[in-house]
Amino acid sequence: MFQSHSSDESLIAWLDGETPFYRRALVRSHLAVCWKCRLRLSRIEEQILDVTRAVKEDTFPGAQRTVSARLRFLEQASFPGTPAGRARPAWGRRLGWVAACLVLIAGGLWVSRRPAAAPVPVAGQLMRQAERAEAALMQGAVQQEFRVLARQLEPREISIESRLEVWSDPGQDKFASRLSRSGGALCHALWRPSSDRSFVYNPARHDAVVRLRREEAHIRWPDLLLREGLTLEALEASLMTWLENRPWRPVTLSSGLALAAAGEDESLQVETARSAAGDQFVRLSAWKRSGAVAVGFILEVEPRTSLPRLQRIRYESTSRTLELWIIPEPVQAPRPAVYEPPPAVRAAWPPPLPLHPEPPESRIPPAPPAVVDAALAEIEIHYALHRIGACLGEAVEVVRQPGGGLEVRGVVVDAPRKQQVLAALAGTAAVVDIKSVEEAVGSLGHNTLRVSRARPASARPRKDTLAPLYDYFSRDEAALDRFAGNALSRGQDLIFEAQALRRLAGAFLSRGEPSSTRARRLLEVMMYDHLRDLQAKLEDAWQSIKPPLAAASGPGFVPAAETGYSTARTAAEEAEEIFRLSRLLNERLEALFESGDRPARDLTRDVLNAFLTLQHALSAASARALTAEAARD
Amino acid sequence: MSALFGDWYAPLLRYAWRASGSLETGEDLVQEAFAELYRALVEGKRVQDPRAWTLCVVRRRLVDLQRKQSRCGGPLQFLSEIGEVADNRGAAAPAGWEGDRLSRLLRLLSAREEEVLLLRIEGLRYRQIAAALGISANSVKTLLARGIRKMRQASAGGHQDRPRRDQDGDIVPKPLQ
Repeated sequence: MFQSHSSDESLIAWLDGETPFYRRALVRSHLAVCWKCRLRLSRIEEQILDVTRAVKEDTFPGAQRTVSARLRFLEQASFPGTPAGRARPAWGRRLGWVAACLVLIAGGLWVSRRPAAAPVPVAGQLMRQAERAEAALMQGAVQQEFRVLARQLEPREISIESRLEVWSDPGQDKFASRLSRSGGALCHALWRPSSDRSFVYNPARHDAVVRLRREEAHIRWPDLLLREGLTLEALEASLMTWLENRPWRPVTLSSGLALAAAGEDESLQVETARSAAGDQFVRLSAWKRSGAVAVGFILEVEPRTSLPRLQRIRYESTSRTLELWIIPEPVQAPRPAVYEPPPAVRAAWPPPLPLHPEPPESRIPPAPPAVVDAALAEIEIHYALHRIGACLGEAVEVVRQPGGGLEVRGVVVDAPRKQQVLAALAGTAAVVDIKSVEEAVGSLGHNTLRVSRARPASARPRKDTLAPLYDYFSRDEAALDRFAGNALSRGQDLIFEAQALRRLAGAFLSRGEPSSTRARRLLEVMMYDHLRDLQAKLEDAWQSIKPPLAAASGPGFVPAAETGYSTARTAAEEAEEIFRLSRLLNERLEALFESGDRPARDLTRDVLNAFLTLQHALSAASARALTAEAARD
Repeated sequence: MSALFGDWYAPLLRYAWRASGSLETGEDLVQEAFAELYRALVEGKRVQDPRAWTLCVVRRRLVDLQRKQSRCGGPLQFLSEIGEVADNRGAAAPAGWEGDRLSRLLRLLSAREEEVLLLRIEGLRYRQIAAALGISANSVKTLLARGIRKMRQASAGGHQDRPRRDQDGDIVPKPLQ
């Protein structure tokens, strides 16, 4: 169903995050179906980019005028009685010009006398200064806090925020660390009460606290990351592995860079930059490459104190770009160190599916020389699309042609994405008909789309019925807006994953399993990936959405899985059920934030119950997937 | 204050230069705005956003100047220079900037649209811009969209905005709305 087109005003406000929360879902759902508006949106974005680029490249009014203006301003600030503008004494102006000229001459001399090969020793020196400055702060027992941000930039943006707390007493060889999600859920912890005992809590591996067994070999960051097919979860897992295997000392960000550079000062690069707040800082970076994978260690250092203010690890491969940000933060509330683990720590959420112990490719049997199996050919195409994330909500479909051939057709957002899809499908047997939005709109006549001009049922603010949520956010409308946007976008992400899972199961499992081993393995890898991502996203959504909803649901309410949930018997039925429950959750989220007559309390309860029901279904599916993995191994 | 001066001086001067038509006048207006901000901060006044605040001071001074000039009668000399600066100002004009990309883009906009765009580029929210300029958030939305639409049309080649000229061929300044 088509809604009326969005105006430029609405689209720009939507891009700027200025659309009221009750309109946001409408704009988004309209954009999902309307190519014309998507095209307009992309043109608006291009124009905004063009203006910002022009502003960035702008050199007006030149260094001389700016320096002279700054001098005039400082002169006025020092002598507040001096009238502004050109009415000041001529001598002041002349002196200003003389000073400006002197500054420029000094600058010119400095630039011309700077030795050409200076950066290499300077970079090494700066890094050692940063190491020394950090070490100087780490005397005695310390408590540290870091904000950890794991971000996937390509193929689509995802980010996971956590907080790392560290307590260390090197004198007594004691150490403890906690890595928790922004909602407070613990996802990794270490305790070292004495030199002969250390414990770890890692719900991805064990449900409770266990003795830590460290790796024999010395673990280096670059070794953990330099591999093809690293995912966001694997990047986070590498942080945990690094924590478990590093010396029992306070965390020093410069040591990560030191390890990456590993005595090769020539691989270090140094540059100065400015933060958004206008502060200058020094950026040190070292890059490691292996095949098509490049990993950069970037350290931002305060020039005055030489203390690191951010460590950024950037992973680039053909299919993914990931970043891990570790930002030191002042300790808000010092807490006494707890070096002994509690008797038992139960996971608040069932542990997610473990990652594949090795890249899936190595576990997949090689393709036969000539592909004759139609199901295998089709699965190969799905796998190629899966690897670039084109199976998640993108308008690309695989179609079986009457003659037995396979066609991949659809519309992608722009030309670069089209090239990416074409490159991914290059080795497959598919006939490819992929268009960018611009091409697709160009190929349509003006009257091809039948657009209904009827306005949708008017959405009105639900301030009255959303009162409990307003109260939770202290009547801060912007905070409620952000919460609603966050909840709806997470719901949509879940739907995309569930849809991809259901599509695979419907196409290949409803008629019995494929005969070829490679086809079966590829299918399992894809379904496993979707299940794992669904679990991770659901957990993440739960952590961030639950507190306000629980508060709005009233005291004493305990969410429970709904009885309507059917226990599926086969993988295909399971996928269908997961999709149904994801859609149900999404519908309830939309009902909560859009117009309706039911009070918010009932609606929030419905959402929480839908969350738990989906979680149960996922747990059952995960258990089945794990059993299947174990049986195969 | 120093960081603000470093970041905001150039955009504000460009705006003042284009609105007043004279670089010298523009420089004076911007100096006055920064000096006024400094005095306000020293006196402990609450300044919500210094960028929007200084822009409003420049705008207010421009309007005062226009009124003064119109009371004196005769053509508004400093406003007549708006637009093609190089032709009118000769050696005093900073060579090369009158035709750069940003100038070409901003020349398409009305003064109000330019103000809104400048503040949005600086990262202000619609509500903040609206409060600073004394208009509604909806007007901010409309002005921003109109400005972007004009630039988009111009880059698509559909609309070449040239400065308007009066009967004598003098350039008519943009009205301050």
